[in-house]
This record gives sequence, C-alpha cells and structure tokens, in this order.
Amino acid sequence: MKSSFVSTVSHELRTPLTIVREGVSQVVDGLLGETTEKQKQFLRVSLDGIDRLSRIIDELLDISKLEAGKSSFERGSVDLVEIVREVASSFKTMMARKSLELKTSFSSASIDAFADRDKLVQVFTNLINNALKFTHKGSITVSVEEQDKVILCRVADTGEGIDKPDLPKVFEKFQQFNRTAGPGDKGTGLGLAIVKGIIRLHRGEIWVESEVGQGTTFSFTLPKYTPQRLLEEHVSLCVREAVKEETALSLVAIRIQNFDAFVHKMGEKIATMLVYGACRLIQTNLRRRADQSMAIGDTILVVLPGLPKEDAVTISWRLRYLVEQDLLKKELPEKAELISEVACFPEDGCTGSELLKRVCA
Amino acid sequence: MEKKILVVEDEPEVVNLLRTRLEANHYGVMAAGNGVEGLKQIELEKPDLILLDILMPQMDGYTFLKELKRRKPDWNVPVIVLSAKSRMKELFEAEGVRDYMVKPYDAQDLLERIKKQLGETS
Repeated sequence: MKSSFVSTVSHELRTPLTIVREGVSQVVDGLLGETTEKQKQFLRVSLDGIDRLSRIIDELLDISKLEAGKSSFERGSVDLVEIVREVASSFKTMMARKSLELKTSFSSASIDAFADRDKLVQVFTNLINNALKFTHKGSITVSVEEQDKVILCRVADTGEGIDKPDLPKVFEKFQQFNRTAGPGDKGTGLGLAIVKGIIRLHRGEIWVESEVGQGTTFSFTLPKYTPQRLLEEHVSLCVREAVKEETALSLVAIRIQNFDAFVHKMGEKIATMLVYGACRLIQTNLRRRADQSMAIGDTILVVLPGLPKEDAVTISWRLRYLVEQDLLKKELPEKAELISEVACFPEDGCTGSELLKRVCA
Repeated sequence: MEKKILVVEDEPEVVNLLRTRLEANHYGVMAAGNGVEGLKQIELEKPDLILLDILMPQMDGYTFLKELKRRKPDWNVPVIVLSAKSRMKELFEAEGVRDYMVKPYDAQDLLERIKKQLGETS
C-alpha cells in the first residue's frame, strides 16, 4: 500500500466518521429529546463500532508508514522505567475492572535507551492491551532488564495462551485467533504487526513464547548504547564516507549555556523537551536529506556531510538565530544563552571522536 | 456572560453538530467555513476560544493562525485544533495552539478541554 494514499484515505474517512459519531452521540446524550434505555444501548454499541473503525484507520496509517519506511523516527535518550510506569498507570481502571494485577519489575531505578519515545509508548500500550484481552485472571507483568549487550523488555500474562501452530503468525497483519475475547474487546488485527515494525526500526528483536492455559510472554530487545556512543558511530561513519568520496564534513553544535538553570527552574524533563523541540525545528530547516540533527543533553548536534567549513559557519549562525527566535516565543523563566560551534573534516580532525571533542565541551 | 467560541471548519455538517453541542452547553457559537471567513469573524467580535480545522479550502488553519497573530498580536485567544489529520505532534508547536483533538472527537472530552482552556474547571 502506498503510504500517501493511505494517509489521504484516512483523512477522507475521518470527516464522515466525525459526523456519524457526533450525530449518534448527541442522540445518546439526549440533546435532541428523550430516548429509551434500549435505544441508548444500541446507539452505544454503534459508538463502540465507530471508535473501533477509527482505531483501525490510525493503525492502518501507522503500519503503511512503517512498511514504506516513511514513519517518523525521532530518537533521543529515554527512560524505559518512566515510560513503563506511565503506560501502566493509563491501564489502571481497565485492570481494576477485570480484577487483574499489573506488576512491573526493573533491573534498576532508571534504564536509559536511545529510542523514539512515542513509538515505545505505543509498543508497551499495544502489548499490554493484547495481554489484557486474553487474560481473565491473574496478572500481567511488565519487566525491563538491562543486560550486557541489550535491554530486554517483557510483557507476560497469565492468560489463555496461544496454540503452537498459531505462534508464528501472531505478528502478521489481521491475524485474529480463536481465543475467545469478551464483548467490546475486539482488536484491530494490526497492533502486533505495528509493534514488530517499531522494534525492527529500533534494530531490536521481538519474539513470543506461550503455553496454552498458562499464559503468553512477549519479549523484545533494544540495542544498548548511550547517545554519545551512537553519535560517535554516526559521525565516524560519515567521516569514512567523506574520506571515500573525497568531500568535506561539518559538525555544528548549538548549546544552551544556561541549561542547568532551566533544569533547576523547570525540571529536567521540560528542559530536555526544550532541547528536543529545538532539535526538531532544526531538522525541519535542514535542506538536504543526509543532514541530521540530534539532541544530547544541553546540545543540539547537526551533522552536515559534504559541507565545507565556510558554509557550515554560515549555517551555524542561521540555526542559532532560528533556535533563539523560537525560544524567545516560549515563556521561559530566563533568556536562553546560546552558543554555536563548528568542527570540520579535514581541517579540525580526521576521526569522528576528534571532531566531536571540538564541538562538545 | 455567555462565552463565545469561533468554529473555523469547512464541513457544514460538522459545524452544525458542533453548534448544537456547544449551544447545549451554553456557549455562543460563531462559525466560519475557512480561514478567510474566520478572519472576517474576528474583525466583528473577539471570541473567547477558537476551534480550528486545519485542512480547509481557500485558507488553511496554519495560515489562519499566522494571520490571526499578525492582525491581533495582543489577543492571546486559546486555540484548540480539531483536525482529521492524526498523530500530528507538530500541530502542538504551531503558534497559539493550546490543545488538539483528532476527529472523530469525543464530545465530553472536547467539552472538558474547552472548559480547561477557558479556565472553567473547578
């Protein structure tokens, strides 16, 4: 499926869906006069149907983007413990309704990964949702464990389990098995395919183990690297390319000098979001495909393959001004003090780490 | 006094439904079928809140926001985007946008968000 086609279709479907949903919901809410309990009951079922349809549209859009490689992929340093806690708390009411227990287990108080936060939220949400559908007593356990080379995440339930022959098919699209789900529990048939797509995007692996009557465990790994390490790898790769192509390579770093003050006044999360926001802004303002910006702590680092030093200096001013103007519009406790630095291959260094040392204090 | 909400939305049926819903909750409704009409409306009266669609003929929501800012730099009217485009985080970062909802919207959810922006939550 072409992703632009799916994107247009999904947009076109939403407007009539809005009209149907809100029309029905106004009748249920009694805005247009009295309705009997029986009528309301039927209308509520149709509202559920409409909501399910819009979930399918969302997920169809997600999967088509993942398959076309056009999914947005904004990685940054994220804390998996915090993500799992957030997702788990959103399931509180649903767990209580089914008298199930949601347990979490972490190998340390915070476990950092270099990943796309929203996409990981979606992964945990889909996996817990899936477990919830097929678990009627007992518990669901989400665990995150930092191992030597990878971070291992698991979502384990004490539910019905999956038949052996069905196991290889669970990540395929629109595979719904005979496992009896209660009313209102119907999925879209795309949730696990999306999960797999997202984990692949992160260069992780995902698998499932299950015993009928015992439960099911979904496990996935995320590669373990610090943003610094990933950055070094990325820059080194670019340097090697530049050597091979006999071109230049420039790094531009924009740093918020009073970042610590923002952390102090706004909290680390919001201060970090500022850097992320600026990073996204820069990314949308970069003109060439290979140009890439990344947020690391107080710094936005921009890698500009093929660009000679004099052009990089001009660009660094433009980007700093852009971020400065953008931050001025936000209601910040104090003005952000920005500095920009430039390091270029071959003038300033011949390896990735040499270049990085020059721009990242 | 009754708070005024400006609905900028190109689908007449959606406008009608929003009008019924908002009026039932004691809001006054001003309606515009696109950005150009929206700009005419803001010259007539200052709304307390704007519900804004993004994809509209003649003038889209982004352009409307820019023009609004240019013409009424000191207004600071909260804008809630109500769009059929899903998963558009960048919407949030557009100027003046305080919240956004994806269509089809849940009316109770929408009303709560409106209340929050109008400072009506207890």
